[in-house]
Amino acid sequence: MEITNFITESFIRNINPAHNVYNFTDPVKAFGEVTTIDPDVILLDLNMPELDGWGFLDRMQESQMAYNVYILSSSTSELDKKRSSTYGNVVGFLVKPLEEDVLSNILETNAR
Amino acid sequence: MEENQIYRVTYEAFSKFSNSLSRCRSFEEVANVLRVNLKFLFNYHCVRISFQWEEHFAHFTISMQDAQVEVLGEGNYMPHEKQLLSQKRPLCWNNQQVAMLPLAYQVPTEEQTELWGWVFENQERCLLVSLLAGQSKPFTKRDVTFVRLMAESLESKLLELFLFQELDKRNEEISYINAQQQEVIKQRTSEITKKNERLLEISIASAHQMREPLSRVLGLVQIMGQAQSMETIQEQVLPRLSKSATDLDTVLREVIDNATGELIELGAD
Repeated sequence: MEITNFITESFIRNINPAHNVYNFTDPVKAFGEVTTIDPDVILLDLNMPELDGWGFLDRMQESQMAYNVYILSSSTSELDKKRSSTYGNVVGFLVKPLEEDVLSNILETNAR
Repeated sequence: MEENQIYRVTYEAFSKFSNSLSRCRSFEEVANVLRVNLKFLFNYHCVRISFQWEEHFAHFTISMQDAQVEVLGEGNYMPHEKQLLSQKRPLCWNNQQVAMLPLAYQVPTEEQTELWGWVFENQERCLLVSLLAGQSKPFTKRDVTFVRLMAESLESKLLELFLFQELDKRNEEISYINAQQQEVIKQRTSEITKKNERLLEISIASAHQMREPLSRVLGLVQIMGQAQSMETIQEQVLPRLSKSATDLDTVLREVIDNATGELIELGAD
């Protein structure tokens, strides 16, 4: 988890060091801070302790948060892909390893 | 009629009997041929014919109007037939002993009946012919020739019918065995298909499990290529790369252990 986040963060810094990256390994803590941070985009891992990616999406739905979410998964499962599309704010399903130009594109299109 | 002429007519009758008999495909057809043709070969009130081959028995009772056949798995001999079987030679009974015949074959006493009997034995086969004659249906020694001829033709025909019957039975058994084997093959195929599906599931699940640490290794290798300094690589990337490689190794070991366990459980030997 920590390593995955390190990789993603390194990629983002490499694309543009000016981006503010908030890196969480604790999804509960992340959910607590999400409104304060008010992010342009959330990269969400499905496989997390305590609160998994689906639980995180459910909580966002309950709190009517509309932040754009990209799912980051190491699974190529079509089932997960289908399920993620049922959430209105999920705009993409990315399979690890993340490619830098894909990430660059995402950052560009979601920048406010 | 002259004696020669009588013989000629009887031989013609015998040849007709023989032809009809050769066309028979069942014991009932044989009984019918006997009912129709036998009376032209010699005189009788009734005739009893019993044939035995191994565990197969056929008993014919023929009167002037009627012919019946029983096909059995054990002998159903009349008392006088048992006597023939034990003495194994032609016999002739007078009135008193004729009383052992079933009621249906009794004839008036003024007929002064005689019961003749012959045994024809041949390897595993035995044919008994017995014939009830009387004053109105006289039987003489001269007629024995036709009894013998009739017995020979009949014996080979009845053996043929029993052999065909046996063949049908064997064929049925073979069909049954074939059907059973088909069923076993079907079952085995379905078992193998299920095992294959299960192994495929395992391999897919394994691939997913392995992708996670592998994707980290790939990501870190990429970061290493972009790193600003050796210090960054040494302090930040290498420890994580090492950890990810170890994780990948752990997952691989688990996958191998699981797959081996599943293989043993599935009995894929």
